[in-house]
Amino acid sequence: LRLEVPFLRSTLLALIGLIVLPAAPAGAQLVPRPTPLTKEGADGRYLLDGTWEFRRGSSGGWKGVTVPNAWNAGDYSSSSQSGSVVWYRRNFRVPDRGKDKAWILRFEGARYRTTVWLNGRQVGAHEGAYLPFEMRLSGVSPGATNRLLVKVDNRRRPTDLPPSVVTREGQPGGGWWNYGGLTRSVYLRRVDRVDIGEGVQVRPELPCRTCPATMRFTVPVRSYASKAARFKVNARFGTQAVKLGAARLAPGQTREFTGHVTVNGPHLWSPLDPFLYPVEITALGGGGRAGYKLMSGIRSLTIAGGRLHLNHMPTNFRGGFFHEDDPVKGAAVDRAWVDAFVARAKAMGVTMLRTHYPMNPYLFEAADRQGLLIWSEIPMYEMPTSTLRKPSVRKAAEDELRTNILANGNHASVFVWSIGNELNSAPTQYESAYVRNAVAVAHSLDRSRPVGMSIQGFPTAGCQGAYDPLDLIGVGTYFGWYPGPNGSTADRDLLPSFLDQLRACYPGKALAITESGGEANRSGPAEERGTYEYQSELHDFTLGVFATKPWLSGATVMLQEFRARPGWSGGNPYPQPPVHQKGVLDLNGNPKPAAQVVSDWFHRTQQYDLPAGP
Amino acid sequence: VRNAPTLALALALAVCGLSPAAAQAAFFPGQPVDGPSADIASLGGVALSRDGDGHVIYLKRDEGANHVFVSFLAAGAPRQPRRLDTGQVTTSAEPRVAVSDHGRALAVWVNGGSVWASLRPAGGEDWQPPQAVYAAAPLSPGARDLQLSMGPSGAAYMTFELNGDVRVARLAGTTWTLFDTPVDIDPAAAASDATIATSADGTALAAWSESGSVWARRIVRTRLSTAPQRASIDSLDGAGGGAADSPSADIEDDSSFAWVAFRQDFGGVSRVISRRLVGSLFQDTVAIDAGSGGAEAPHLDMTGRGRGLAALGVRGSQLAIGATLGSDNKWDPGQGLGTASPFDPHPVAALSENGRGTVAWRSGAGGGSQLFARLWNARRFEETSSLSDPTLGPVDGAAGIDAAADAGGNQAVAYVQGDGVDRRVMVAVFDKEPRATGGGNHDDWRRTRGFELKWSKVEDTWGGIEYRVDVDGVPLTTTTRTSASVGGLPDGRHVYSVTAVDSRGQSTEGPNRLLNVDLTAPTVELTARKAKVGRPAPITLNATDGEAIAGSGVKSVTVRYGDGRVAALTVPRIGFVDGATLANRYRKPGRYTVRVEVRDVAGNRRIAKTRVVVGK
Repeated sequence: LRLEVPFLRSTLLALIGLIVLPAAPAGAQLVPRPTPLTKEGADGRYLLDGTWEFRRGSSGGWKGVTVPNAWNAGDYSSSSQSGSVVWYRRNFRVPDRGKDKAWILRFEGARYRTTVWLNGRQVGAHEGAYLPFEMRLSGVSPGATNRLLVKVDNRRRPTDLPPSVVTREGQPGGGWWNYGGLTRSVYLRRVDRVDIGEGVQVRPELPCRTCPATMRFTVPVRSYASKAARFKVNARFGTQAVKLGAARLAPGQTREFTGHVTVNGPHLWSPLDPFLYPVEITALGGGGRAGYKLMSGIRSLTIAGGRLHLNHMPTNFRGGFFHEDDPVKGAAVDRAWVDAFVARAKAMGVTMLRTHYPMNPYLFEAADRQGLLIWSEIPMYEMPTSTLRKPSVRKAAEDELRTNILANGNHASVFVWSIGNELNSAPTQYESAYVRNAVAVAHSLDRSRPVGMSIQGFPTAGCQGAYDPLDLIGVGTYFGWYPGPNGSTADRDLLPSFLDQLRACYPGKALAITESGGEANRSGPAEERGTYEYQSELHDFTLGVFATKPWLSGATVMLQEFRARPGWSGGNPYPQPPVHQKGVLDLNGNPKPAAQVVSDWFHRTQQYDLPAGP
Repeated sequence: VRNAPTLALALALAVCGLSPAAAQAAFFPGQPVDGPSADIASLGGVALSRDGDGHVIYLKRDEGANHVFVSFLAAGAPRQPRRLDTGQVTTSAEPRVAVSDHGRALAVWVNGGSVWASLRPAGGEDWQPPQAVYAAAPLSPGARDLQLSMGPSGAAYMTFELNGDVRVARLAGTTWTLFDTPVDIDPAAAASDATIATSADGTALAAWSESGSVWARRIVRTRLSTAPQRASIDSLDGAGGGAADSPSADIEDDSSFAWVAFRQDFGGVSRVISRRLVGSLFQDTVAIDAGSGGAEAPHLDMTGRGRGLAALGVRGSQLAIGATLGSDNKWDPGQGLGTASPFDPHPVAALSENGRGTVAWRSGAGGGSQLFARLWNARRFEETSSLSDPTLGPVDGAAGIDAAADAGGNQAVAYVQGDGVDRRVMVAVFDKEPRATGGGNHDDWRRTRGFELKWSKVEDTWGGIEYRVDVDGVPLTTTTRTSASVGGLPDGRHVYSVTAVDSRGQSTEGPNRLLNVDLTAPTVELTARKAKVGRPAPITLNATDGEAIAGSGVKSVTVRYGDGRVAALTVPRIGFVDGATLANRYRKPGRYTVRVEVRDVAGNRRIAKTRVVVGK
């Protein structure tokens, strides 16, 4: 009975949503338009962004909101951080009344647990916050108004990715704000008897810098025809045709079509020259057609001599850490936010972006176009050993990693699959098992990229065999900012020797700095933490130390402010919670004085095409 | 017999529920560092690093003049002293010592008006030859009021008074930098009473008195803060603030946060005030003298994470006051720790990173002063302990008393005791008891009489931990390793425990753990009577596993009826089968052999057979 009550309540609300739903709210586009925001994706995508109706909990009235929507943007209370159950609904008419058409609902990301009803019937559910998911809409009325109701629950649990945390002060914790809702775009997808959906992989192989490249295609094709039919799959890579074969598929059957094409004299992708090739894939058969488009870059990523190589030459990238956090819209960042953010990053000489979760799809594409590397990480964030010991948690993270690779594997910008951030710095058997299994998952899906993880830069951690399976280790270093265990990272003068110690521990692995910096929100004495002057000096010192370690594959600073959690202080004696203020850009993207320091260092650093050597 | 599994379960629960037996940690009375000797002059100080090493520094007359001697404290026990100011023939004064982890130590002193230093590098055993940090020119004023501090990362600063100014020098690695600019504010005003504290991040905080006020200023590597701050206040409880002096300061691992305690007059009443420096501004103001008028110079010690312990004396009653600072940055108002006495208490405080600390003070009645201490156990002050031995004479407060703490909860108090030829430099310690061992339960039943017992290492900054292993209350072995073998155990449940014992004989018994031995197969009784076709055959089974608590219990019963049928009997969780009827219905008449295989939890197996005659 206990199980049934929520179900009944949900169903009841779904029915209420169905019965009392008025005409579409003002401004709502009843028939969605074929205007996808990203280039990559299946043909026949209709954008369901725009005006929806929203309400929180099971009482209260509905109000109009704009999707993408973070329901708690602007509310930085403890209850907001804890999360809540919210509801979205909207009407739509399908843009194509053809009776052979199937319809799929695609969410680019919703946080965290999502349940969907169409015309009063549940059509699907999903858990997870930062990756796209789809569900087939059965029961669409082609000639009538359809009613969509979506329940989103962002109450964090200890086993979620990221996990719920309670701070010492008894407040809900976490490394970034727990925004909830339909935080990314929603699409309606038309399927005409055949579908090329999730999991298309177009991967480059580049044996040497001047060699011909091989582009390998893996294309899952699913039949939506009413009877068995033969399907033929072809592709174009740039101007070259690629035959991927033909096969007979039963209704509902999915098959992967594979093939490759050799590209002579390839125009390589790199941050210095982010050249992209257009790719089109088509599947024909059963009287239907499916198409899929993306932009692909040819480049190689390898680890040699303990360094990351891009196109067979060592890197020394300079990167920026951030969170998707618009001053007004929170996590529901739009294209304007992304474009402005990318422009600011580029202007500062940033060529790598990192955050703790798979980014907005539009940001991936902007990075492809603009020549920014992306450290693509899943939100396996500070998971305590007491939770990680549960096999179900490790498996959930492995599934998240798998989905990330399949969803975002075509972006030239993605240079590493990161399996997590700051797990126990003294790994137990559970961290070891997770690293081992997650790396195996990533390697089995993609051998063209290294697999990495970010760890805390503690001198007391010593050398850890648990990291043996990793190709690339990212290190968050806060020497001169956070004291660390027993004050071991308090003194910034100890940073050089710590880095040398790290190198000695992991001579065969690529090592990069994945976080660094200190908070700043005011002008004041240079010796006072939290002042712009302190931040500038700290960055100048730290980036100067990084510059003396030629074996580093890259280094990252905290680029832009974001909201962290209630009561956040971040080591600043005069903090402004919940804002995490280590960014050298403020929440609005305005530069602090340290931005110039960082920019100067980044611009004077040769980041790519470095000579080989130790 | 039928109660056996229940008893066993009860014992197991009882055993697992036992908590480790913690021994009472204790103060250990003073033992001599040097002496008895009429040449003992005065104490310079005592220092303990977070990782437990320490030094006592003092002045002793040698070759006709006072010279600097230092004794290494190994686990709190003094080693043979050695002289540091070798080659210097004139009298040395004001020796100070500071330490950081891995054996790094620094001693400074004044000789001939110059400031000298000797470094003991990390990982090394020897002190380096003296080096002049400040060389006084002939006929120029000499340095005095030397203070020294070293942070956990090894950076060190010292202050000294020179010609009415507070000067500062910094040691980074092996290199000294003497600042050209004085720390104090007004070059024309006399500054004195300087104190210095060094953060883990290499930043120092100096505090001093100048023109009747107490000031504080950070020193960031080789740069003086541009924002020195006045700590003393204008009024307290409506009384106007007067002259302030005697600052004592400490700073967190994150140098954004520090406290400065000092004495100040308010309407003719002497109070001790503590103020928190947050960034570049003093924020909180708290009186920590238990409301006592006549409060004297405080002595403050803090952990790297901001907990604190302060000691101060009260003029008149000569009472020692202790005050504590919690992790919420709140001070308690202070409390009296001893009783009124005719002797100046010279109280000192030392706080370990685990939040436990010591306040020691001088007290006594009539016959002579002695040294007493109370442990702050992170919740309350424990009962007063006597540190000095009255038979060795009075404790000389004017010759100096000092205290220091490591990270793990150990503290040392150094002092000078005795008169005339019976003068001694002494050190008493509070040695934290060892923690309990963890791990190593064998609560599953095994078919072996031998076990490899393993337990977690007990970390103790003063080391020397041995492990005493008892099995069924009988000592098995004592070892410094974290494993031991035991063999020849008879069937049944056994209890073992591992007791950690430190070098002073303090012990903490770990939780009782189980060893379950079962090499005996279950006992099976299988009987059958004549049966008829199609009717339940009267086959009865009893299966038990050992007597009392000796057996692991029946886990599975597999029955082969002889007619091709095989059945697995559901065994009750209590682990025995009592009079179970195996009601097989045979389809044909004949003679059938019933074969029952009984396994216990440990894996022992017993097979029993019986014959069933099935008639029409």
